[in-house]
Amino acid sequence: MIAYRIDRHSGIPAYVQLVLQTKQALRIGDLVVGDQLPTAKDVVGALAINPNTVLKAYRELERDGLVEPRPGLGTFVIASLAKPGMAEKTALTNELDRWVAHGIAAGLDRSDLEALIASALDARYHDTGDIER
Amino acid sequence: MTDTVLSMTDVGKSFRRNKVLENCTFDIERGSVTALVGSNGAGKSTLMSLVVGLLSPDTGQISVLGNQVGQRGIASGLSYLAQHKPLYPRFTVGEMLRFGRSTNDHWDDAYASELVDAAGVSTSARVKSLSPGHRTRVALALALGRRPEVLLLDEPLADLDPVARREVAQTLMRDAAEHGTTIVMSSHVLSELADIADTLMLLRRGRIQLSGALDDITSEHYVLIGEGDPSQAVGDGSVVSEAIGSGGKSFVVRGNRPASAPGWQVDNATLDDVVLAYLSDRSAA
Amino acid sequence: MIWVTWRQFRGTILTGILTPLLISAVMMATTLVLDGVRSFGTVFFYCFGYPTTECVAETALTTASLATIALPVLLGVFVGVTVFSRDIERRSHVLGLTQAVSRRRWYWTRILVVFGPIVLAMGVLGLVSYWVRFRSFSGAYAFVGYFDSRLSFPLFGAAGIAPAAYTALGLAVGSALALLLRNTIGAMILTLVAMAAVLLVLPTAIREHYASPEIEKIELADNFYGGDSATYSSSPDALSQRWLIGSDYIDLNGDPVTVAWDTCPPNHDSWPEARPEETTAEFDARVSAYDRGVAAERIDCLRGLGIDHFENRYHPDSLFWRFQLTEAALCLLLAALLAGVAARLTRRLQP
Repeated sequence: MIAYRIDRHSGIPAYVQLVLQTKQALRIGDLVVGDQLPTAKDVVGALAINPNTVLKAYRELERDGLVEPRPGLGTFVIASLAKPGMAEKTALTNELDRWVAHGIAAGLDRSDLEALIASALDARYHDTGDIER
Repeated sequence: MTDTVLSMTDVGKSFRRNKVLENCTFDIERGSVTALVGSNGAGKSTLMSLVVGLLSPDTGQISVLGNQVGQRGIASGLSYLAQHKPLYPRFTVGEMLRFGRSTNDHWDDAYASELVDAAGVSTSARVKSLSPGHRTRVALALALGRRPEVLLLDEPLADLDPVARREVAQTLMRDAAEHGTTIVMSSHVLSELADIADTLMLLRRGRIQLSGALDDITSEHYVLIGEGDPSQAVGDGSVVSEAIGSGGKSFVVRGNRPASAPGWQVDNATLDDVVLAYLSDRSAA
Repeated sequence: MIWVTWRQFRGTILTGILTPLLISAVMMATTLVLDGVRSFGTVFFYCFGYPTTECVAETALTTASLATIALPVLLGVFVGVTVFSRDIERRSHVLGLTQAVSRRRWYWTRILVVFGPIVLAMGVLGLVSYWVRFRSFSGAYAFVGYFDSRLSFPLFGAAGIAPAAYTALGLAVGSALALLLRNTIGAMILTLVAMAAVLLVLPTAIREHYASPEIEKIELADNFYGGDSATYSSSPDALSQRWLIGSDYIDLNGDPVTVAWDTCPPNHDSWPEARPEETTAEFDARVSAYDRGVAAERIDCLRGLGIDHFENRYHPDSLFWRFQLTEAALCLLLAALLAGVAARLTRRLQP
């Protein structure tokens, strides 16, 4: 569960603070896919801010593809920002290393390898759109 | 698409020979939280009394939820919390709720009782024994028990300690979030208004000088800090007022931020800056 | 709205109802003592100090009657005014006027719920007062002279439906002034003055006009001793059965004539003395002759001034209830007008 806080002296607009705190929670894992975000009523009840501020923040998160409103039920998390843990990073690094070795053995040089990686990334990100902006 | 819940057109009101309000025209949209600010005696209470039907305007028209305001009593769908938070001193809180039930057709007793409960006030307590904070919350429960579409509050946070102010603000925002209530409140406490309000209406000498979305208004203004004559740096903006600050003079300017202003420090304007600029005696407005 | 008005003013309502009912009870208690007792025939103040039970009861009845007359004024001042002024001074009328109740309903509910029962209680008091005093003329005569008519002040206002009507008027005056002046003390003082004026003017200038007076013509006959004594020569019972509103010498044209008291010779000082050798019969005869002589002198003198007869104008006691109804109607009409004015004044109420 997430408990929002507003720092009135930070100079950052309230709704931006809510968005950032939500994203942070998603990264840390305090919020996972399927979790319901607090209702506007609960948030303003705790923070005494304008409900439109909350709605604006939730709309922004929805545009970013992180949450989705379900009428009558609430707003739910649909994506996670959790970065892979160390173990996964090691495995990925090893796999990448082997692939590079294969490429070199097949006679490709650095720029060929870079071009292959770039087009693979292009294909992947082109298909699913920009998740992380 | 705008849904106007409250509108005034060219309203004027005088007492004896004092013009308290002049040419007041505005519209309030459904769901907005409007901060009505102005110096003492600027006409905030008079404006609210006119909307509520306690006074009749000398000129102009007022309409609430599509109906013109007359002497027929307060528009249904509208609730009012006066500055002195009127209650009957010898009634108990429970009897005040019963008062609400008896004098209103659409009364949500469960909601009003819940609000009183949440405030930690016992229904058998006598009104005259309540602290100002509790008194405000009971009076607010009475106003909200009518389940209004529009809620007018005259200085609801005055005379309250910080904890009570917070709790009243929380109650109001909860109600707005849950029921979509449109709120118009006058207040001197600008810092709390900045969080709560999304619309600003500024009254000065009986006229509405500023009216619009809070964010728009603050972004239309900026602050110039420095020494000397600001007219060069300002370009086609207009200086609203000047004040003496710690780093030299500061000018609140309305207009586009200048691309370059050598010798000047340019800052964003906060709600405080804007309101104080317009209300100060040295205001050019 | 009815519950709210009751709850807000239950102290006032109860006091306003219980006070007249208490006084009624006191009056009823006095009849238990006085019932069947012959009238005192004495004037009120002579009764003070007498330890007899009847005198104590008379005193109680007197006090109760005084209270009955004062109550409409007191109620007007302390109930009529405060019913609105308390709210207005505390500015809690703003609360009442910003709920789903129209100003008219707010105003009339208050009038009916608070004033209604009080006026009714005063009606009970008036009727009890009437019953205690007047159901037979052997009832108490305390508080007023033996010769006073119940059509005049103060008996009239202390009995029947008059107290209720005066109270309605007092309450209406008080509430109208409270709404007009919005200053409690000022409204109270003005209400006091206004009601005192009304209670003064009604018996002295207005009541006698409710009907045309009966005229009793007293001829200048042999036994005419002057206007006053002619008036009082009727039997005592008949006296209290009429309310004398005026008497004059009338000349031949039918116009009243003013005669100074010493114009025609008053009774001489030289009353015949009883002589020792006279019998009572002889003495009586001599006194009668003397009286006739004096009377003849007087009549000649008056006739010489052009006077034809002496006239008493009065209202017979049987008109009591008719006058009560007339005066009550007058007061209630005035009260209704004031209530209407006050209802309009609520429109001008500022927050």
